[in-house]
Amino acid sequence: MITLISSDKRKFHVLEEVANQSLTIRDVIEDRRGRRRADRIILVTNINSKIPEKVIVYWLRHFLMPEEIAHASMSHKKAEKLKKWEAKFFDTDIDTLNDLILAADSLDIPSLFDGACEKVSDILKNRSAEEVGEISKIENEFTHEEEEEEIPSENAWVWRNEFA
Amino acid sequence: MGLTIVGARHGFSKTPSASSFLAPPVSVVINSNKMPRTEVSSCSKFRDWAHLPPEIVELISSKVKSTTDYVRFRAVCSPWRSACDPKPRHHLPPQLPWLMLPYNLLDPTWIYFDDVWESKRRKFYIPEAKGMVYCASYRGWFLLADHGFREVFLLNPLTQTRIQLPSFSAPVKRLRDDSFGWFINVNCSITGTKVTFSSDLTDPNCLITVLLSRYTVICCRVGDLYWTRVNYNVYQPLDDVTYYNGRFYLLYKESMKIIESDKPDERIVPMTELEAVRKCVRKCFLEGKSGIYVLAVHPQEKFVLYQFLEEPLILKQIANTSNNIAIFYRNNYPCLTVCADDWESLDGSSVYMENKCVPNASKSAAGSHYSIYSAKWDGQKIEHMVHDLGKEPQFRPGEPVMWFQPSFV
Repeated sequence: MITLISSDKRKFHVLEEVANQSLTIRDVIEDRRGRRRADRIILVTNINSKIPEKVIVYWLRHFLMPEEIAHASMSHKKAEKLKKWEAKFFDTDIDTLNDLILAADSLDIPSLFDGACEKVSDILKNRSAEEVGEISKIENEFTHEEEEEEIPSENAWVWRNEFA
Repeated sequence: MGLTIVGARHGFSKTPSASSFLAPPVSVVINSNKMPRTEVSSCSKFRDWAHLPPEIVELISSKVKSTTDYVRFRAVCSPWRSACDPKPRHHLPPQLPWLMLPYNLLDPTWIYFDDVWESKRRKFYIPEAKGMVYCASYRGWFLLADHGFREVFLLNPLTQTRIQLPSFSAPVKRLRDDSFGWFINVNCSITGTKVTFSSDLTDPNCLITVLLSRYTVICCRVGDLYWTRVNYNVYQPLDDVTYYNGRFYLLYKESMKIIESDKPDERIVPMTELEAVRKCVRKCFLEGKSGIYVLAVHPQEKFVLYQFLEEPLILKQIANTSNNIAIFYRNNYPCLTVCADDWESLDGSSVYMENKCVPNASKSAAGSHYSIYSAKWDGQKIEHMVHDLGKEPQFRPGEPVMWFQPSFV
């Protein structure tokens, strides 16, 4: 059993086999195998407790069908079910997605990272740069040249619909 | 004091963390490189989309599927713009094609596309096209030539990149011995011109193959001064030509010819006994993951598909290609195939055709229409979209010119 501690000092107890889906944690466990029990405590800081919770939910779902996830051997029905579940899992606000991406990156969970990135690109689909800026609260801070020349000329064919 | 691991795959800082004051034996500290690590409790600061590590931004951008979304993505903010390649090479799948609308022959610098998938008209200003003719398009590039065939180049309207090609009016080399021995008939028409590339144009070995006015097959590499002639029988019209794995494939009325590009070897695959081929109105090559296919098109949009087999050297009739493809037609002629797996809006194993409509009597003669059909392989029509070209002066009445697959490279 491994204990994860979030920044607000909540504790999460996870089976080692489950937490192994994080390559970072797996490496840490491998490194310190055979030591005291206290070694099994992992501090996950700088993210609120909502994220470890989400990550663990994700782990558990994927733990239930080990190996099969990456392979085509998974039956069509199961794959559909997992797809549906993932769609629901990632259907969250954009801030949580940001946290998830950072968490997945640090903990090195490729499938979670990929899934979250895909969801973000989905959100951006068919939205103008301004809309995206609004959603993600990004100030554009472009240089004068970019603002005046490059971007308008690119966006001309992306957006202008002369005959609508 | 325990071991502290900070960051991971994508370029986070590797310095020991101040948060190790909690002194666990092992701590994995999740942190963004811009933020001071002491602010353990503050979460809002870490949700800064603009200052995500560039590697992560690039990875998100790699999930974007269409050229238009990619351009918008790069226009969001400065860090995102600099994190993403303006000409992404491997990110984007082959795009859904736009239909290039008839352009004013006297002023080809403005061209218009109908993006039927996003229901948009796309307009491009191409100053370099002045005095030129759009001969053919392939993977985001146009082959342009002037009326005297002296100047020939490839142009990408999205990036405004131009690649100069040898003149059609210069002497032409032979394929085997590099000697000169022929000229292209510069009075031939440009209809039936096709261009293909063996890989992407940044590759110095990329071979550009051109079928000119249905009789002449020539090829060159970027930077060459002269064209090289591939076929010598100039009296037999060709239906299609393609280059695949070091070989040229030439499709004649009743046979298929395979010419090795690097050794003097020509083979002919007869097709006379294939009834479906003899009776078809058109045929063309399809490139699949597992090789070359020949598609024979019959009246009423019936299709017969053949797979090319090496041993024995035959064309074998098959029910379907293994990959899910959609075929795009122009002028009764299949000219483009797209893998349908990448696109929800695309119906796999179906054919999209543009067709000129009979002008509606109630509209004035200046207006012009065309329609796009999609049909299943068995010829069953499933959809019919009519597009009105309108009465804008820049549109000469006429048929749409060609399908164009936008691409950055």
